[in-house]
Amino acid sequence: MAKARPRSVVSALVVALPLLVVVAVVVRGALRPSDGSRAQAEAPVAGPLAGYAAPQADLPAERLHERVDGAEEYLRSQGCSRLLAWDLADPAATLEVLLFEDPEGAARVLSRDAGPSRTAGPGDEASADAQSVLFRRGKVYARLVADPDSPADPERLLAEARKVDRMILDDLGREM
Amino acid sequence: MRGRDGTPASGHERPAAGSRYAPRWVRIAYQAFFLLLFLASFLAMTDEGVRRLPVRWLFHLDPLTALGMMLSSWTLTPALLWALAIVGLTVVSGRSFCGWVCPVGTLHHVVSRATRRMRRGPPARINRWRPHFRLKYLLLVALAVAALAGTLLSGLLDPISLATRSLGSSLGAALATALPDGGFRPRLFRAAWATGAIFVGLLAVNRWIVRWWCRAICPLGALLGWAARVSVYRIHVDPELCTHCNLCAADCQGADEPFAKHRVSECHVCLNCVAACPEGAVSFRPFAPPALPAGGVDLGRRQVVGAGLAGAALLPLARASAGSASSPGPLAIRPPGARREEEFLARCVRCGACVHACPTSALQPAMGEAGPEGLYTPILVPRRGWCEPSCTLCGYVCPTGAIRPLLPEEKGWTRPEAEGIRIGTAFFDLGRCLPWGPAIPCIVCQEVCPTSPKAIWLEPVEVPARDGRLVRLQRPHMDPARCVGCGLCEAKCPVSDLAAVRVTRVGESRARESSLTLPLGRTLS
Amino acid sequence: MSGAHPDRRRVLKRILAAGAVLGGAGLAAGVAVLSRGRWREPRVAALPKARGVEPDPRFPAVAVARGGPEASVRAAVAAVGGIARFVRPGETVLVKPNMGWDRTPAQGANTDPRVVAEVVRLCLEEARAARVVVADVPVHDAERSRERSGIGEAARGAGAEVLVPPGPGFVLARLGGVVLDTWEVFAPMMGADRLINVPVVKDHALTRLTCGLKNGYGLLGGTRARLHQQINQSIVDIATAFRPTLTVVDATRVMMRNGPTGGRLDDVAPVGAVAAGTDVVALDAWGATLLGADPERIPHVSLAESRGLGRIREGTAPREEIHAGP
Repeated sequence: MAKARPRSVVSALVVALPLLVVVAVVVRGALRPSDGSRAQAEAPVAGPLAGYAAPQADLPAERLHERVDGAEEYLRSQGCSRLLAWDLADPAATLEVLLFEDPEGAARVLSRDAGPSRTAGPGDEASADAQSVLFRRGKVYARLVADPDSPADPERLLAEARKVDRMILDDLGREM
Repeated sequence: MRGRDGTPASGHERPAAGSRYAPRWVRIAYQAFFLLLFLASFLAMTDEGVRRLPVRWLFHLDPLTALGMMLSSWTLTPALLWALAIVGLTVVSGRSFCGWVCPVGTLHHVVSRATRRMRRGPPARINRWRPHFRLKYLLLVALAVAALAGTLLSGLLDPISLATRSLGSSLGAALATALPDGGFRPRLFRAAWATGAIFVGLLAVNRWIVRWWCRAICPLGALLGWAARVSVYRIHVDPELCTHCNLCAADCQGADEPFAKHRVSECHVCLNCVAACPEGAVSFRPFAPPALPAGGVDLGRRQVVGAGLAGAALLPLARASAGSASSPGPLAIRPPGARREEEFLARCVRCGACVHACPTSALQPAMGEAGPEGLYTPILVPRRGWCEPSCTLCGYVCPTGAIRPLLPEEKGWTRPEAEGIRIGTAFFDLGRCLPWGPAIPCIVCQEVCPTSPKAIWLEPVEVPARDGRLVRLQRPHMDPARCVGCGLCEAKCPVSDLAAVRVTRVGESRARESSLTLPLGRTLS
Repeated sequence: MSGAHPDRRRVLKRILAAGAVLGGAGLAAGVAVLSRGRWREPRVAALPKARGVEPDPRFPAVAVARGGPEASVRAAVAAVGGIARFVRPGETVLVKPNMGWDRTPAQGANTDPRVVAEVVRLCLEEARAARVVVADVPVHDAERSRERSGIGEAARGAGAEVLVPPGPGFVLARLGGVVLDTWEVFAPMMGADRLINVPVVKDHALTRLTCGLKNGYGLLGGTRARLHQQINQSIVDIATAFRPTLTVVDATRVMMRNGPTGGRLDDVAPVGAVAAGTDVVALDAWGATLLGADPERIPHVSLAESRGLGRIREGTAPREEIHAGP
């Protein structure tokens, strides 16, 4: 029986090792809190395009169907996290700004809306015609579509899109 | 009969169980650490705590939670891959999770140890294996089949869930109530007495049968016991050295009967038998031959099929009940980030971590509001508390993603103009509302409404009082397009029993069929 | 101690068994982590492409016939080009009557069963359609409404299948409207080549008139009571999305008051007319005049006109009615 002792002490030490590792990891984590799991909302942050007018709609991913009923699943699958919309009076148009998790998602949605052709215009890539300006800046995709009932002024539309693009650029700059 | 050091042990007094056997002390250290970790994780389910401790880690180590979630939702939260570590541990060394890690097992171990002298009789009789210990396997079968049908009830009996739920929504609150002004906010939970009585009652059974919970009920123990049948390391009794003194059974946790036909699926690997053997005949070793005669647990085929059928019948019966998943009742208000009801019920392990973590006690265990299968799932009860606009804690303590962890801006209640998550809609009960009914001025609900602009707006009116004088009042109205269902108005309404403004589930944004209003309309292009 | 020494066979067996359990668990967990889970967002289906016919200047947009129900149906349909103009041989036709209420034919709440049966016979016998489905989503109990309206028996007798929910269920479909973009649509709607709208003219408490435009409401599922918040826009959204090939309006008995449910025989006027045409707005305008209402002042009719669904004047203009005989 006595001969069994030394062996059992060795095995005890071996078995105790994982516990020591786990204790060390837990204690280390407790002393250095992570930022990853922050369960508390920040103080109110200004939304994108804060300098612009108040949006008519500002929807999280879960409520996209309230504006783009039917397209919400596709948008979410591309990483759309938020949608803001404005009804503009001058130019008479609707502006929708969609925030994505990454530029690739935004680019895919632009390609779906506009097809492969690109025109000179605001953002990293754009597709403009007489009635609309669609463009992507980084992970933000914006659609500026003239109201069908009013005569569209392509120059005015493009100028507004450039203004929106500058504000998006400012927002993205602040984020980085 | 001889003690460990060779000194004679007198009468029924048992030897100090292997105090020199080192691995046993390591096991106690493991048990102490994991019990402490469980309690610390429990206490750390706060904004600050979740950043410092892996408060869900014990859930994520739990193979029963992982199996249940896989069967019911056909997916797995990546963190639950940790459960493979316990599966690995089990195929190497048997149910060592039960004996070394499980905090509930440890609690039962402590109570059975404390009541040791109350159980009289020869060790082999006290810790004999009883046929009804097979019940846990049948429960596991029934719960697994129910999970496959789409409802995750395993958490009702999963030890980690059971302990979190019992402490969080009963015993912890009861302790705070009992302490003389210990600085704790009194917390009230629905059916706290029953929740706590079950847990304490299970602990009390240890007085008669050691670790009866672990031996007879625990479905996690059953799952691990099934895996332990292939374990590499196991208890081995050398027949040439064994004197049949049965001392190995004296402190046996699992009733696996090392002295007769060792049942590896029942053994908790507490190693008390190794420590207790005066002859050194018991060892824990790899690749030992099966015990002679081989001891297994025979589950009758009829019993297994019966358990499976019972599990299969659970869901249709529950779903045939009004107020279950297909049409949850009006008070089944789910926390923000909760998935659609069917998926929610397939992921929620009923652990009550969210109920415990909720800073305002707004989250309460459902009793009948969410149908029979919704028992102990979280619902918001605004009379108990409101959903704090800036808080997303419930999603950060939920172990299975039944409540998604929301990004701060995703909930959206602190942003002006934001249209964030909605969990319900509040409606006024005009007869009870002070300005509407008895013509008494009050604007509390509008004052506390946290959305911006406020969902509650005031209409100035002049109405005649009883004596004919005109009273100037502001009558509150609800704008359902702005209401997020947080429940602040109901929580703060001065009509203190049944509030004059109450939240119901309609309008919650997680399911389009709950919508109250049509889309506001859009520009046709 | 000899038995305690592991032999190679046992070592191998144990390692394999332990590895199999761990590997199986790992494989299952890995697959589950990568899986998207049991629940998907419902797929949104597109409605069938245009089921209308080209305008033909030889035929009027609306024709009205008076007489017995069957004869009137035949005469009115013949006057707008005959059934063969609308249904080709071998096609599947969905006939959408108003079969929404647990009411008898005499009460005038549902389309007259003789009108429905005649439309079915026209499709099957004259146009040689392969299959005619009569479908509606009743407000009252579905099977009771189907049978008590008389439509179930009459249409089956004429050779049609008569479907009410639960039946083949609902499909989430893209309607593309202003307020109704996606909604649950009764599944028979999705598979039909042609849609023949067979409404009854009735009074309606909320919209004044229910006739051809509003009849499409009966192909929706979901909590359609929600639509009453914006009923006029919703009706026009539905009518725009569904675009029937042909509309046959039953005005044999017209419920003048207490619509849409009615109940009293006193509320029902024996008008004895059937109108057919491709212009739903015109047909509704004609129906409104039967109730003594000004179609211009019925919001959903004027809204439908402004959305380009048809012309009110075509319905209100004086016309020669066909005498169809008994």
